[in-house]
Amino acid sequence: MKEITILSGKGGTGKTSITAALASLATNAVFCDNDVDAADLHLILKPDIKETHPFDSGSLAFINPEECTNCGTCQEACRFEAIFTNEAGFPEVNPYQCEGCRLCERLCPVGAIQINQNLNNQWFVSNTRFGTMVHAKMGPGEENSGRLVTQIREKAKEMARENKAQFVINDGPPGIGCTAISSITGTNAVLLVIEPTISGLHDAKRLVELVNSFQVPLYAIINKHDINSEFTATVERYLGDTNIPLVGKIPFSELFVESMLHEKSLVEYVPDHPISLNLKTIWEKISTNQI
Amino acid sequence: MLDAPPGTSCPVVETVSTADYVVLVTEPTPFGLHDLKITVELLKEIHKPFGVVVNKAGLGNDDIYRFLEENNIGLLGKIPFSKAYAENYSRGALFENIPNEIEQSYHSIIGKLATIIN
Ligand code: SF4
Ligand code: SF4
Repeated sequence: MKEITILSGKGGTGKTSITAALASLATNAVFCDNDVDAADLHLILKPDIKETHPFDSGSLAFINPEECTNCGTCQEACRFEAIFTNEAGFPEVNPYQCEGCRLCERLCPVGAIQINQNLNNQWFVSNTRFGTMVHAKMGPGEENSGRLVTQIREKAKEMARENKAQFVINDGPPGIGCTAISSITGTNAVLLVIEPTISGLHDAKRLVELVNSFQVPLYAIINKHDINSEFTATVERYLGDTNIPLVGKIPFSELFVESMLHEKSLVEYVPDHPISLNLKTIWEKISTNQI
Repeated sequence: MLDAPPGTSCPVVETVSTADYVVLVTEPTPFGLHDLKITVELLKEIHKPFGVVVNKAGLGNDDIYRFLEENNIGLLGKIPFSKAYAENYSRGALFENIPNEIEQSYHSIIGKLATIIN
């Protein structure tokens, strides 16, 4: 079993559309949406949820207004400025700021502060028309999303072993933050989706640095290559210089959005279109280890 | 002006937490609408005033405008999609040969923002 993670650095490069297209070509794979902060792959894969699991993303302080004597100790002590004075003039915890460090709980002279586990997040195992999918839903501003990525990747690999699947395909998050790092560690290959723009290449370079530090092999696809063919040549030169194999180039096409509106991958929507054939060649190269 | 990361992760919350007003930039596609809904939920929860700019208008469909109307969310403006201007962007030349339509929509967005913020 081989695990492939699709990443882009910059958002908006068409990474998820390409992941969906490859998902519809992979006949023997498990899919995992690593972009837990803004998951989108399910909009095309339409998962039918079979299992729901809670994810503990840490603790949150809660002040019981009935017991609080308004002494001000907690507000002064909280290093994360998570305690503010509410309209009633009493201290209240802002759940987005609270890091769950429990200092306030220890300092409160009347024991008015309670620490609760935050179970606002969930992850799922689902069936899709292409195979099993593992995905998650994070509440906004939640912490520990990196740990959640690690957890769902583990589950995806377990499902792949169970189903005797050949591949796990991870749709990675944008950026190079904690979720990106969690989607790279220990994966077998990273497929970079690069857009031929100055910012696209800049973000891709930072990502390449990160992936190299984990010694994970990289491949690249240039998406929307015809938006600027001159800059595409620059990207190709960069890939050549850094020994990153280019597995394909895809032109800009409104068909990606159109197929999305039909809740289909591009390959399903227009199977005989040159871009679909192009994507088939790309998947063949990746899946048969020609690179 | 603070340029926030995408999504609704903790850096986004940190970025908007001290802002007086939030401009949400989205695109009229299912991915755009889905992510917009999550962000709107967050901003409502933390009581931040906000408005929406639809980028790449002309692509996708009208679901996003229906969502804004149904939820009484202010549309600050639409920036039409232009492949020629996307080429400018790819070179980092955002201030060259701005198509008239796009320049007009930026002016109107800035005008609206100035009124709202003042
Ligand atoms: S648990 Fe820590 S971060 Fe949360 S409110 Fe108490 S002192 Fe502040
Ligand atoms: S330390 Fe306890 S009693 Fe004092 S303000 Fe905080 S919650 Fe209220």
